[in-house]
Amino acid sequence: MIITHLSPARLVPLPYFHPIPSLSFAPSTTYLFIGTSPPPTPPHTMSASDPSSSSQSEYVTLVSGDGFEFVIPRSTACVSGTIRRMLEPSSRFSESVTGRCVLENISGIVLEKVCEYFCYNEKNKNQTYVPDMDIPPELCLELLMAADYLDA
Amino acid sequence: MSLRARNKIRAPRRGMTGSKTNDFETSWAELSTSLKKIHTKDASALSFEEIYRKSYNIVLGMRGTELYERIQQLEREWLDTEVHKLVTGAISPSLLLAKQLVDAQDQANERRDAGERFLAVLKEAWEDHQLCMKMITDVLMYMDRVMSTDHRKPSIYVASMALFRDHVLRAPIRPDTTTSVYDVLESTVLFMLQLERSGHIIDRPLIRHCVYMLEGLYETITEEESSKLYLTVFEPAFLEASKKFYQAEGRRLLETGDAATFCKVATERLSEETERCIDTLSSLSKTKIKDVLDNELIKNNIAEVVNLEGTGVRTMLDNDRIDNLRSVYVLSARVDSKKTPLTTAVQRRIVEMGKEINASAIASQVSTSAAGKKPEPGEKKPAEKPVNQQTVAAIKWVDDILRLKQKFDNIWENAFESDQVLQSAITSSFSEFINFSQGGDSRSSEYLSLFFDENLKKGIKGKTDAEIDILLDNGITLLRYIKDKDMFEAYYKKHLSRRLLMKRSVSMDAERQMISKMKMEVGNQFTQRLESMFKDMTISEDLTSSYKEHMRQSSDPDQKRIELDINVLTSTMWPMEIMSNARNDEVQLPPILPKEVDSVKQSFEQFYLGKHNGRKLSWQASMGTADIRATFQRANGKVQRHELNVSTYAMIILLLFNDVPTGESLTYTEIQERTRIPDHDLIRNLQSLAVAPKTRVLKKDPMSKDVKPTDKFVFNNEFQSPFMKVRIGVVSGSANKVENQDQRKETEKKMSEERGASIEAAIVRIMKQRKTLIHSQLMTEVLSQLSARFVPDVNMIKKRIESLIDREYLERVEEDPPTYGYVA
Repeated sequence: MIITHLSPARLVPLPYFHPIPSLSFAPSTTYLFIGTSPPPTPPHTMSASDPSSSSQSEYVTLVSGDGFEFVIPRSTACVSGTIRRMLEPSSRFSESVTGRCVLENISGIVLEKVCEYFCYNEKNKNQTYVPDMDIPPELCLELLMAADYLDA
Repeated sequence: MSLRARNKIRAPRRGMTGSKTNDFETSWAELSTSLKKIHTKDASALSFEEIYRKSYNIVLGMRGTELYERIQQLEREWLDTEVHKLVTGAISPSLLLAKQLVDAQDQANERRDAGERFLAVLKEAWEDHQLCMKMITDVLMYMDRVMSTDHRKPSIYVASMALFRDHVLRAPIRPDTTTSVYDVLESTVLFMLQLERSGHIIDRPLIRHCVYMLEGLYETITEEESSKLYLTVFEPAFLEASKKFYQAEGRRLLETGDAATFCKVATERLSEETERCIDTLSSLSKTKIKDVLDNELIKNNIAEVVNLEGTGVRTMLDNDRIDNLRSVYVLSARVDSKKTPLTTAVQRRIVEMGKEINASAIASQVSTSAAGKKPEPGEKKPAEKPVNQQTVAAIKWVDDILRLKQKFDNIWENAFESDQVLQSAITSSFSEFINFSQGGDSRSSEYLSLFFDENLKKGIKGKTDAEIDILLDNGITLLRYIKDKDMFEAYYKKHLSRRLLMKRSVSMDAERQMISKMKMEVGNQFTQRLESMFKDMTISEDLTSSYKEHMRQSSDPDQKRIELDINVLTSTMWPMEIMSNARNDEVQLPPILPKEVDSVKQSFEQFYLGKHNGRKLSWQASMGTADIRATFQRANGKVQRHELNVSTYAMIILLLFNDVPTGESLTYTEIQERTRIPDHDLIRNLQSLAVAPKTRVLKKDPMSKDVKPTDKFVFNNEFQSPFMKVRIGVVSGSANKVENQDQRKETEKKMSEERGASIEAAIVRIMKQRKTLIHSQLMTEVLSQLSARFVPDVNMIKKRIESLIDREYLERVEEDPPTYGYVA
């Protein structure tokens, strides 16, 4: 059910983490992270040539330093202060125009975990009893660095 | 175990974070280019992530402080060169002119245009700076986070705002002057406001934006609310300018001398300034500018406005200018919760108008009594009219006061928003002039009682219940103002007794209503006696009918009986002058009744005393009436019958003539001897029988208006009247009217006796409770106890205390302070 070519160690099935099998080709793989609701617009309709729609689009693309792409809902991505500011429509940086954030110093494997956290966060936003998120110990330090970088 | 070996923590990969851009200078060069691009609004090509990562790396490379400094430096340079040049370039020379020189219209216009240009440029520069700094701050977020937490430095945004303040606003416009951009801004904005105040249209949003700028800038980097530039620099200047403007405005408006205009303008200015604070300036100033207006425009001038000759409150009151009064009220209420000038003016006017009413009532009295005094006192006929006029004057007095009251109630309700302070002021003014007496001669109580009398006798005929209710309520309102309520009670009792005994009351319901209203207003004690008067009347009715029943059963039905209607009155409850036969201390024997009547009287006495043992009946002939059937033998032999309704005394006199042969006469002395009617009443009754032209049942010889002891009277068989029933009223005395001086003195004497008793009772009550009391305290308590009924005279209280000490109810306990003790 889960394609785990990034990290063979991680085999825990997660209901809110649905990489689409047909799109999973490393390293320019696009993962579609779905929050609590299914996506009304297919992510591939976004394009850099249409900035007005992308700036308002519900999905954004996060690109890891080694070329993995993750498409996640805008609201979940904005858990990160850095990404939120990056995408802010009032500041016309290239990221906010294209809806595509290239995060040079985060590797795909870490970014995957980050995206997982975003979804986890979104899903358990208003709940009191939250299940622990599974963090592989070997990723701890890198995730910490990423959290600091992303202000999340 | 094997699991732990597999899950080895991966070290962060160095190569991804710092290896490529570890050179600070290179990174900075790239960063500064990017930042400049942001300033020139060329950011869309820049990658947020790239700049962010660079600053991130620099900060990670422990060069954060240096980066911070560099950025500040960059901003400073940018502001100093580009922005400052832009802003100062927009300052045209006309803006630098001193304020006094801009009086001329064209210059003002020129200055306004220049000002608008300048403000627009400044606003633009500010907004750009804000936007750019926001972007820069976002991009440098990582640095900001580290700097503010680790080094306690203000955010780069705050720092750059302070830079804007110092390097743009506070920079001199030219190196050789001290005038800063801010000075120009301030004078320009104030100039614009000045223009708007004098009726020009200005670009409000533009000024609003400049004010936003001042609100967004702070004196300190900690950015406390109170250190906003707007509050520290601009607002004081604005308030000062407003103060000057409104001082001048106040003077100008007073010079025009129209209170209504003043109020209108002031009200408009108030809303205008509020609106200005919302639209043009900051709502922070709303209360402050209102204070300025309240103080400068209203507080300093309101007293003068209120008292303006010809247009002030007085004229407004006289002409019922509700709108104007309302605005005066609203303005006064703003600055002073007591509204002193307004209150005084209203009070003064009420007292003035009240005194006019008093004076006109007194004037009509004086003129009539002067006219009435001229003829001999014996000639009663012409005196009758003036007396009625006095009554009319009394009623007019009450009506006038009620009208005045209504007028002020209306004003109070509609113009003064039913204000408590003003209500009590109005009430006290009314009470002041109603109780105001010239030489201790206040007739308010009497007048008011007469007013009720008149209305209950005639006034309420054909009126609906609601109307009667209103009428009585109005009267009660006045009663509220009267301080000497015991006086009113005495008069009311007197008038009421006449109404009841003579059956002059139109509606008993209205009478009862009146009593219950008084009860509500003044209290139970006040109406107790009045109520028992009513009770007596009801009991008497029952008594009369049961007596009639008794007679029908006991006596021969064929015998012609005299019908008797009797009123048995409790002597203590009814007014004394009706009850007492004693006049001037000499005991008056009861009149001799004709034997037919006397037998009826005796039979009733028997009947009554049989029912109620141990009571004493004393007959009051002076208050009664009788219906008699008289036969007039005409000279031509015809017989004319009339039913005469006469007073009891007149009946006695007329019945005398039954025993006198036709044509023969009786002298005054003879009549008196045979009837023992008191002189006073006899004269009056003979006058009505023999002198009054329409009811001349007796002929008098000689024919004159006075009745002298030597006059002879003969039954007038030629009596003519168009009516079958003839009512022969007794000249004067029966109608309720204003008392003359003598009666008045008597009433007052009685009043003061009664008051003396009340005071003594109060003193004893208090002392019994307190045992010992200091003189002054006793005084206050007595005054407060009695104030509901009347205002006691202090000397009178002292006398009463003395007298109580003499009679050993009280004793002096101490001399200093004087203290009394209660002797049980």
